[in-house]
Amino acid sequence: MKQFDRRKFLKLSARCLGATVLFGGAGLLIFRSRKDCLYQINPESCVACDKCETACILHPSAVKCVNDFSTCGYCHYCYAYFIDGLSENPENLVCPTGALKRKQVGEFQFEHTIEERLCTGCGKCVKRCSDFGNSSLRLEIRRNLCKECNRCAIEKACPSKAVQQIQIPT
Amino acid sequence: MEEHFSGQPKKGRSPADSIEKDQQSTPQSQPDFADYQFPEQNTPLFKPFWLRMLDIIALLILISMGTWFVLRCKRRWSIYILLFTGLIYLGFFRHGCICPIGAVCNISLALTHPDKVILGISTVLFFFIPLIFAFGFGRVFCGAVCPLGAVQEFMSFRAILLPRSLDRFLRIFKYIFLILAILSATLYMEFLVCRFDPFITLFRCSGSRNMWIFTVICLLISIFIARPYCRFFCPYGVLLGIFSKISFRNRQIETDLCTKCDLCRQSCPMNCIKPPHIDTFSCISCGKCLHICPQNAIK
Repeated sequence: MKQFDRRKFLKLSARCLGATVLFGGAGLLIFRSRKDCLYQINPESCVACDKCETACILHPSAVKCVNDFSTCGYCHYCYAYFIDGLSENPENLVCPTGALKRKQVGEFQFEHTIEERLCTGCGKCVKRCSDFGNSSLRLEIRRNLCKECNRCAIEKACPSKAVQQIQIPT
Repeated sequence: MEEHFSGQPKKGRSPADSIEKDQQSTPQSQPDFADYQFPEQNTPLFKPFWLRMLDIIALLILISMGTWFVLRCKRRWSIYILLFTGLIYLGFFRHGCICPIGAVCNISLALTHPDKVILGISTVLFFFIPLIFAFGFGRVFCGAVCPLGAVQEFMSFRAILLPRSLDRFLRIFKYIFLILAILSATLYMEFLVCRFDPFITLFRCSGSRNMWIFTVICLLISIFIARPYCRFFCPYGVLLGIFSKISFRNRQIETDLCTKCDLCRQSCPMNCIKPPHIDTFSCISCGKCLHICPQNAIK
């Protein structure tokens, strides 16, 4: 009889301890948790290395280059497009895949758009634009491609801690 | 109302406070020629709030139905339907992330470094809901919901029964993996569980060559050994097992009805039955023994 009661007592105390840990832990963490956050690249901290292209668990990466048209200079000689001179020779173009496209919209104004399908997120054009241009080109994690991992691999690889968590707007 | 997120390339503004409603409202340096229209800026939208909560709701529905099926309704196909739904939604549709197994790393990181990572409410709920159900009814998450378990279950065509000593030896790796996962998350901020997730390449349809090789190896092993990841490697399974052991309602064999025919032991994918005793730590409440027992001795 005594042994039976002891086992029941042990099981009861184990259940009490388990319940405390479970509900206490859940309550504590729910209290400390925030709304879901997603990762995004902060354009000020970004140094346009090529880690976004290689570190993402997706191949091709979920990071694409985006042009902010309100800041873009619409330059005839776009430094992010041409390496040296106005030759359209593929060896003279900054973009290795030809994703950065150029269209004349005025006498000396050229509209620069990125074909997302071709962009690999290497950041070469972003670096040139921020070094010599208006910094209108930036790298961005595309929400329709990002798989929202528990732990962003790009964030881990980023040398300048530019990948940060932002709260989702509602 | 459309909401766009766009990081400002200007100095002094961070992505968090630059949520532009309309890209074309106040352009800073508009080209000074007439009738030019800015091209449409294609910014993909965040998923709406209700769609995010849909994951939690789906988890709750699947796990509740799994509990109900194993407690009350004893049809063969019911649990398989739930597993299949869990596989399609949590696995392929949501690309296998968020999962409670990976949440082990998230939670241990959040407990030790609260400043380094923002813990979302979905992660906390995904971690605790299966544990709460395990505390009440046993490991119903494993048997009815888990997409990784579903892949292994649907791949086990020629499952063989392992000798008991080998089984017991291999089970030790679960505990080692759990300790390593917690340590790597707290010390190195590395998510070991996600790195060694065997079927994530299937869910994402993308991965490096090594990961695909790992997936194929795990699929091949699953054909011959039932639920190898669940039995020998799942770190979350350790936590679920602890709460399952002290649960209120769990699978058990009624000793006076049992004829020791051994059918349940041979049908158990987790190899946890030694008639008339079921090891509730490992039992995933899949219901196979319930269906196969000729005496209906298992509750």
